Amino acid sequence: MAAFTSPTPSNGGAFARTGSILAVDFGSVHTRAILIDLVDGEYQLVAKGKARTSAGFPNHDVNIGMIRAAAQLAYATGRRLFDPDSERIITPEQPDRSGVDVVRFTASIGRPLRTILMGLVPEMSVASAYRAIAGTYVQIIDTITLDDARSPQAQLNALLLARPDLIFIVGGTEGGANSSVMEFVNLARLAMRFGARNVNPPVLFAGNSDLEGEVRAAFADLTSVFVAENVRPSADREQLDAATGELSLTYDAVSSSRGLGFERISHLSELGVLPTAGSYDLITEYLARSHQAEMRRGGGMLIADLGSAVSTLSAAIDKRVLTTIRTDIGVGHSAALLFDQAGIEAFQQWLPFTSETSEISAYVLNKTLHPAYIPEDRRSLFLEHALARAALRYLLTISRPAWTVETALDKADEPLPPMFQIVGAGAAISETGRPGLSAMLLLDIFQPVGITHLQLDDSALIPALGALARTTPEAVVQVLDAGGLQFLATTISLSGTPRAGRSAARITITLHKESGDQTERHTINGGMLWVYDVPVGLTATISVRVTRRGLSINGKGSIRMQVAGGTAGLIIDARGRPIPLPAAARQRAALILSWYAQATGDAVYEPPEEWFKEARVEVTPAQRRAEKRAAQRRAKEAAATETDDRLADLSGEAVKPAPAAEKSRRRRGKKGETAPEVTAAPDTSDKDEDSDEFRSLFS
Amino acid sequence: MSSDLYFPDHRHLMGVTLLQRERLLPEDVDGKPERPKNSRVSIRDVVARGVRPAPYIVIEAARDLRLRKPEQLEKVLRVQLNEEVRRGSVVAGKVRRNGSPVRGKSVVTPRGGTVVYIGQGRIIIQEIADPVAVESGLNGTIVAVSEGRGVTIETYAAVMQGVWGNNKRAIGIIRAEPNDGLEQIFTDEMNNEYRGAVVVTRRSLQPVTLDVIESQGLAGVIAPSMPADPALIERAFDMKAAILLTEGFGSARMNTTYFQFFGEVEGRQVMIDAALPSVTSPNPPEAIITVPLTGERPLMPPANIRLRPSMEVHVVNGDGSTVTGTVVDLPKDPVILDNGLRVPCAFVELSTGETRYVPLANLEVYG
Repeated sequence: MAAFTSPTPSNGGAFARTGSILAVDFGSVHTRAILIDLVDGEYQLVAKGKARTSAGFPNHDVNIGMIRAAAQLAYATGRRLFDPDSERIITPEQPDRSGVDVVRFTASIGRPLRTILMGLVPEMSVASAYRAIAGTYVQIIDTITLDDARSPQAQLNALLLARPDLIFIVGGTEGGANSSVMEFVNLARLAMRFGARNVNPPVLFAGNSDLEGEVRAAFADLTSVFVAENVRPSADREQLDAATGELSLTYDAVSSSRGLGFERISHLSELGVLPTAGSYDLITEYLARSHQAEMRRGGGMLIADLGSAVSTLSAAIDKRVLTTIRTDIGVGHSAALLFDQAGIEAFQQWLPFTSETSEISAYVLNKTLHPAYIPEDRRSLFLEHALARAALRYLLTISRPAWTVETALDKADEPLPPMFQIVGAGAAISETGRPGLSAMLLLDIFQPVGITHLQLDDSALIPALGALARTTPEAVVQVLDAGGLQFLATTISLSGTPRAGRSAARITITLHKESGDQTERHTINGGMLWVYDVPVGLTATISVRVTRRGLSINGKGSIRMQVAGGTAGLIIDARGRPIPLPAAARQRAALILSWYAQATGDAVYEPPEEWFKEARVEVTPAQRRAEKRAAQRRAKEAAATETDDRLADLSGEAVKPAPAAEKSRRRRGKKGETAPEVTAAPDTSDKDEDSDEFRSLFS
Repeated sequence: MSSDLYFPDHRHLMGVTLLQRERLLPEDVDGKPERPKNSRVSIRDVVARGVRPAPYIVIEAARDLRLRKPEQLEKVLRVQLNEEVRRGSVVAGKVRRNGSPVRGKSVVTPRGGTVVYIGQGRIIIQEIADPVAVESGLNGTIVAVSEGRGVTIETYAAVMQGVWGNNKRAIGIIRAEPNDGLEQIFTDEMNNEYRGAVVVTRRSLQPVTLDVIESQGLAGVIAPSMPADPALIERAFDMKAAILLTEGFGSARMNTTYFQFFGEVEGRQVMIDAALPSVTSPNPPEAIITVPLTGERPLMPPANIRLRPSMEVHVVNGDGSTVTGTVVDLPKDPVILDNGLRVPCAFVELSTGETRYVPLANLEVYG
């Protein structure tokens, strides 16, 4: 959590004005590079490039992907960024305009920092420590507190066997508790003394500052110690920035030591490799501060990054920024983990066809194997979009309890509090190539009420700007002001339950064109996702009035406002809240397919009839025969066991005769067992031919 | 992402090549390499050994013996540092003549292990640790040694990389499945024909196939796919045999290119490293096959293959299956697919004769 009160200079006076900036973000699947430069004295996004991340096979070096992405920048701008001999970024910028002045790296790849948290009171310093880890990839694998009921032996084993990357010690207010904190320090020290690890994990201490010397001395000959300001200097005060910064540096140090090539590039940026999620936290705070009027009116804002392995949701609510990072939610590497947590219903409710668990789980598991896969047919597209919706809705559900204290806003089943801005990031949402689709996905996921501005970060600008915020804040301001984020649409979402096909709202639009104003009036029916083309660069004055009782625009019956054009235009979401998703596949398909058509302007897709039939399992004749034999054998074994049991029973007491109904059931059961449980597919004769072909090849 | 500067995913499928593979101890294991650099190793040689950390037992000896000061423990100690002790051994205090403890005046260890720490009135014993040995899995030469972790081995071999493995390794001879499928060797009588072999099947694995693998004692199986059934996957993880999938989850059949490749290496020794894929795993699950080296020694396979027209590729489908094709054209602008997405594509002629636009992200090069 970050408070809006933390200072971020907004003018260049306190910072050196730099020239060209190369920012690279290393994701699990893609490495994105952007070039920012001064154009007429203002920072602007000049070019962007993207390549597959090369941390894994066959390169095992993130540099390769970075060079490929930067090659696209060089191709687009005609500037030389790399020295081909040393394969390094040229820095600073040379008189011939080759190279760049500043380099920034962010990364979300790799496993998170496995951290053991040691602190005194769960509700105080430990709670603050949990908030300090927002913005970096820290996985708390164990927490040891004063309330811990485990024996010292169990705590010691927890420290030794978990093999953490970091031990994070907090506790004690300033001038407060000493001995209890030192007990934790001694326990950690003891674990390191005979842990027999080649390298002990570093220690981050952010507790009572009186103990800094003693803590440093305790670990002097064992490991490195980082010290940050006390996260909880007093019972009613919290200071997290220093601890968050140190956690980022530790992340950089651990990333570099893990290989993957980070050790070769980290030194090029004075900030090393920063965690991508920290940028989302910072930029959410910046955007919220830039929209204080909307925030004062009770609105909030969200930035959601849906990655392959990691997903991040930053929310500015009630003058606070809260970031949730989950390394088990994603649409690629983490898809299977998401599926296990979110459950199949989270997917099925968004599918316009009858789906079996096997189809969905096969798609999900195959996505973990091919995380960059882009659906080619419609069925795969709906599965992919169901996966994206399930992922971010699940992230939203688990994030909301932390948003507000003691209010209903944090209840996941309550409508989302009004959001004046929602920014989507991640290839699944931002790279559909169709702005209307991206906007629809954001609306489906967050289901905002009232007026919301939808934006996309399709260039991975936010990670870069977050990394620049501390040293070149004017670049952040100028690039965002210059429209660095893609403006999708202004959306007006009706609350309540509109009746499908009946008028829900009326709108009057006056589009302000150079050739003169053009006014149109439309009636919007319930159940519609109504899209009107307001091109980028134009503005329109709109007047919207709901036409049915029970409906509202965030509590109001009508609104009048000016809207800016966006790549997806203007959207009136008259589907109601929550969006109705019928249980029957055919009815659901009718709705979902019409929304896709309304969002894209394409014709409504006519689904084939087999989309509504139960799926069948394909089994080859050989497998069917084998299943039958196996079943027969199992039945035979079961019969033998049953006989043995009876003999055993007879040796003890008399066996009671089974009731007739039970006997009958048993007979049916046996009969059932002999038949294969799966439905046979019609013919697979070609498979036998293939087999023969295979055989002949082997011989 | 521009189509003319695109580097697709890469999987090896090579008759013979120069390979380097790391053989490292698991991250949670402390140990050391067993062989020096430049030494030759055989497929079954152990190249690194270590121990998995075992739990620790903290004995509050000074407190239990009611000593006034922790330092007094030294005088009544019955063990020393690094000594191995058995369960029930007296570690401090008085003992009877027969070595048994004196009630209230001696402290015994509840479990056996090694004394790792004595101090502050405590005795800490680490339970007996599990030894871990890493086999080479390759016939080759050690070209690098990583202290505390393991070695890198270089070898000439044929290699095929798949997409998923059950986290097991196996060594055996490559055998083709029977004409009627792997399930046909499921008989009540013992059949030794396939015992210890690595069997290649072109069909999706089914529960009954796993029965066969277990009952026949196969060392491993190379199959195209298996149903995405959690119980089946769990069972695959529990099996001794290594399972390597070439396509994915579902009912996809084996790509013809792989199928022909295995036809050419039947009867040869293979090492399946059915690694579970992850973001940063060193290699995809793979089969490394020992083949004779004839003619010139091959170089390392290329790692930077840029997509170009006329290149042979694998097209990945939504059901996990792959089909071979040839890149005909690389359009500069994104293409709108039938499903409405607008993405960078290649125009590909598939081995079936069909031509279509395929998203660049769905292409794999092999070689």
